[in-house]
Amino acid sequence: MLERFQTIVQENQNRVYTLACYLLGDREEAADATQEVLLRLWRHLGELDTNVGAWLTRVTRNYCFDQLRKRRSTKQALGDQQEPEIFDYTEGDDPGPEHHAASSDLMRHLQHAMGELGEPYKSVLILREVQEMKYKEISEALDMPINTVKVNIHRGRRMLRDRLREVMGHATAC
Amino acid sequence: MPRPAETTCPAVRDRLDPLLDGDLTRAEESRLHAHLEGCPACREELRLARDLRRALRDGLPTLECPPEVSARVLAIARDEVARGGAHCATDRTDTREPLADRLWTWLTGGGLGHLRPAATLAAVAALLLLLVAVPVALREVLFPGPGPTAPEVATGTTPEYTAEEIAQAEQQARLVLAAVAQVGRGAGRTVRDEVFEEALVQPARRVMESLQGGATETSGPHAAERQSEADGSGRRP
Repeated sequence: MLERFQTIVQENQNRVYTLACYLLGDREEAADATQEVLLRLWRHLGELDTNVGAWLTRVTRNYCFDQLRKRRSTKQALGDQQEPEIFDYTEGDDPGPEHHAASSDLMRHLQHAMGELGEPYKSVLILREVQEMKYKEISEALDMPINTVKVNIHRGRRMLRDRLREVMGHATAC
Repeated sequence: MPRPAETTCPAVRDRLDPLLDGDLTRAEESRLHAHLEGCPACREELRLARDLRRALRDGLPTLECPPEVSARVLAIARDEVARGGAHCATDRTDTREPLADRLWTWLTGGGLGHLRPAATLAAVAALLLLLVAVPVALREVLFPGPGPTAPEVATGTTPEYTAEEIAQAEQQARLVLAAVAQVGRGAGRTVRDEVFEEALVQPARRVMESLQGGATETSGPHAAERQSEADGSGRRP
């Protein structure tokens, strides 16, 4: 059982951490979330049948939503109206100056737009575009009909596109 | 002449993602391409959709989990397996955990694990009081009557408890004290003697005093001997 758990941890830790990072927008909180999710996996490993990946995605997403709700209620209790900083996804993974020169503008706007995107669009886009999951896998992980997954992904992309067009000055109106 | 509804600009833009995903029928694809050839604005929209996909993949990479996260998780799992009280559901169905391990699991996991160490200590103190006070109080209710006087208890001339009761009480006390020690180790800290005295020993003594009218300590013929073993003084009566 321990060996199986170790293998699952090695195979899935980056996936859990990445999803938590993009949902929470904070690396430290994402590390805590990853630890909590993996420990929950250890507690329930004997009860899980086959699709551990879908289970991990669902638990990570639910855990992160709980954290975000707590964060919001704490901010409300403190009367803090300030918007959160937009997470710099590339922090600590600097690919070098050439990369920055080529894409910095689009990436910056994209990351900002992703930070502002609501649910469920943000989750499904992260799972589809970052985790490269198939529609069926997303459907299982989020317990969402496959057509709803597709519609949400399309709407999410559309929202991002609209936002990027707005901030980057693309004129495509008919 | 008006264009068919499915080839108006808004309708085409709604179908750009399915087009890029390859989700459209051949006929739908043909209609969309026909529209795109004659509409620079929708072509620009298609280019933006492609750029966005590329940017999402390049700009939002898979991140690497800090190694200490998995190290911590695996250390916890190994520790639980080593203690024979694995939390993993399958392991638990194979063999029944010893009582002490189940108590430890409850104290540090589902039961009290979310508490801070100080709060955990207080909760354990409450548990200790409960374990000591409830049997004594029950005895008072079920078997009312004059208890032994202090001199009787001190000299051991009138045994207040049967040997079986004493053994049970000792077992309970050992269990709780072992749990207290494990709580301390689990929290990565030791409990100072004076804290232990204040949080556990003194409250327990007060309860015993109030229940037994001042005779607290030396119940049973071997009490003094046990006391000398417990505090390490080696004193003999």
